[in-house]
Amino acid sequence: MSNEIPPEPGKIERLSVLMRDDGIDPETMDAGQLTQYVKDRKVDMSGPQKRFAALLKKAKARQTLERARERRLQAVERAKAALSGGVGAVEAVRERVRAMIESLGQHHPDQAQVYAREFEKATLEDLAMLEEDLTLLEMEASEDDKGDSQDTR
Amino acid sequence: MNALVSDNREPNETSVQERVPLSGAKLDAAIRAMESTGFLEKLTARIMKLAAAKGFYSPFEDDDANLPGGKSSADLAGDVVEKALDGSYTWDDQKQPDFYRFCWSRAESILSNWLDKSRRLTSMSPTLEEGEAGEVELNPVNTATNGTDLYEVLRFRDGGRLGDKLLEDFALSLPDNSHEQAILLAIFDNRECAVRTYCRGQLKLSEKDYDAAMKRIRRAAPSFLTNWCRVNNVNGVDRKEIR
Repeated sequence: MSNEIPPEPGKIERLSVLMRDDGIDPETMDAGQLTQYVKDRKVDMSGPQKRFAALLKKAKARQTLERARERRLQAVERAKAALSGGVGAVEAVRERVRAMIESLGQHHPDQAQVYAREFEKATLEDLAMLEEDLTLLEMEASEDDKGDSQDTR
Repeated sequence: MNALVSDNREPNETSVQERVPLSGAKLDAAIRAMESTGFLEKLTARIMKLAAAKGFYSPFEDDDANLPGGKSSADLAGDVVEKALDGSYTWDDQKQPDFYRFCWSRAESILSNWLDKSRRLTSMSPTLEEGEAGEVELNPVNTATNGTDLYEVLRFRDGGRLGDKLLEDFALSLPDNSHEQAILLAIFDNRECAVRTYCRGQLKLSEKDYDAAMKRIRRAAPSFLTNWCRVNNVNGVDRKEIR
């Protein structure tokens, strides 16, 4: 019995290596060239592509959940901070959110109505999340406005 | 082949550590990488190159489909990505910030492990053991890669000596002093000659002469293999498999 383990490719493998050495570097190829490369080598990509799309979808869903959880935690923290500021601070948050909904209603009445319904039954945590949502919406709207004004120049 | 690689997982890493799916910044980075154009195709092509550089593909056929476990390079790419995402592989993004490169390194590790296992198991000669019913049978461990794939048999049986003999016979069957014979003898004698540029440099062949000789080698290989298998009594079922 021989316990010798060949530490390097066998001789027949060297022939295989040489015959497949096409000098191509996938990292330098664009998407079209890559698609052609695997197609020329008869690799069926349809099944693997479907599986890859599903993996990506699942990863994104996990990312969304993770972000929602983070936002919720942040909202709880903000709510706690507001509560520690007393009734006045809570009222201030409520007023800010009400004003934001009104402002949203000027351009997007349907969307504002949805927020208004949530506002009616909102806990302090919900208010903090609503405030964050509405702030993001305002930021997006102002970015859109900037983009529009640049387009019309 | 399947007997050895029912699963490509590396036991040291996966069984000992608890699986922690990617999250936070790592998950964000992985998603960004996966969304980049042609990620899967690039990883697939890279795995094909890795497999080719490790001698996985038979020199006697053009098919690039089969890797360990009967998987294609694209299947293996999917496996690696899935295991990276679900935490079966531990991605240290401080060491390797690029998710694509991380997947690449895992694929390389899978292929290397498979080769190591195959060489270790088949470097032993098959031994006879007494079975449960008292009958004499071959030890299943050291016959595990006796396989049905001819290329596998050539690579691993008897520590690869069958493949060595085939290569030598193939070289000697070619016209004496031809470029193609020189290339095969160079590969036989020197492992570095498995690299195209090195081989060309050693033999002082122009690109054109080298390519023409490689073309003749490719053309001659299948019929040589057929005759060689017949003369050397290499299993007919094996030959059927390779086709």
